[in-house]
Amino acid sequence: MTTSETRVLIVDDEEIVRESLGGWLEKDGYFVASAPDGRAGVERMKSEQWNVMLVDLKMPGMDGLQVLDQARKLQPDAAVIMITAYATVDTAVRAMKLGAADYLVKPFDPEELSLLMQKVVAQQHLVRENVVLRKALKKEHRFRDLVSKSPSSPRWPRARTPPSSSSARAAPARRWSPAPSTPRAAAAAVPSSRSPARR
Amino acid sequence: VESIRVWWIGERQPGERVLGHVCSHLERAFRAPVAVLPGAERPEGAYDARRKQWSSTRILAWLVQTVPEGRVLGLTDLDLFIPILTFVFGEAQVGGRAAVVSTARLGEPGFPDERVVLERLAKESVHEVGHMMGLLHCGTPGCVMGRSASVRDVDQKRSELCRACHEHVARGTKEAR
Repeated sequence: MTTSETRVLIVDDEEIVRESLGGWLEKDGYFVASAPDGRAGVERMKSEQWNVMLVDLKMPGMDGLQVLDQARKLQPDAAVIMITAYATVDTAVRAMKLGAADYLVKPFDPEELSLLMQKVVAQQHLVRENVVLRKALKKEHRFRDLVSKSPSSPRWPRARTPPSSSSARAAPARRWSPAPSTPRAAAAAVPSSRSPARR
Repeated sequence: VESIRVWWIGERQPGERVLGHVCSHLERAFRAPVAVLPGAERPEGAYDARRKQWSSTRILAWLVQTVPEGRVLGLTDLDLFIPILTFVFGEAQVGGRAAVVSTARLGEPGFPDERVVLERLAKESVHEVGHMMGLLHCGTPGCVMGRSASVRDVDQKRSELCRACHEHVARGTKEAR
């Protein structure tokens, strides 16, 4: 996932923070949007997908912890980074226990922000890769089950003893044998996908 | 490419070599005429007494107001900040006409090597003018448009644009890469 594919949502009631943080991230190529309060932030979570959310802890109305709670429900794969002032570090630590990816104390060191974003984006990349691989694996299993459970499909003869590696190499190619004609016989003859013979 | 004007807006007077060095790097990187604006002024209303630093965003607004037309790069020795960060080396209006770079954080504390600071200043000047030309940060190793969050990052870059960034400037495009 490149930075241009990473969607970042900033939820902060201070316009100057939204602007300067947004401007900084946009120069790195991130797609950045912002919300002026917790409620507006949650609305944007309902309508759009985000990879990273930077959420201020102290906001009037819905505070950062409530936004984090909604984010965990609405978009569990998104990384939520809490923004805090020194006075609220304890709350930020509590937020980490509730599922926040990390927290930043205002004002941030440029290197700290840069490294944290790199770390979070790399994690997001792994999360996305994991989802894709899981889907591919699920699809493969679905097709394997289709073949093994079909009564009309041909079957491999069940080996009585496992061949040794040398005999396996020397053995002639096995031929397909037709499936039994009756469904009952087929059920008995075709091994399930979980049987050792299929593995 | 439109000409670039360089203006010293710092506290102490820079050596003659400083402005000349920055200008030659800008000319080479952007193949554009570069001129030095005479006189030295201090940006009004950009000092933040609480942080004891200068707001780079307010300096950009001041530059646009004070220099009525064309692209201008302000050079300074004042310590710059934006609200969310402890400091910045510089800031620019992406695709706009003002940029500012400071030497305040470019030296090693305790080991002020003027040549090193000068080289870093030249790189950061090219970097911020690159933003003015519409470029965003670049991931090509060594490209001057790479993000610099520390002086180590600045030292690892060359003072030139990579081929892709150069082509973007040549086409006058402002699109994000």
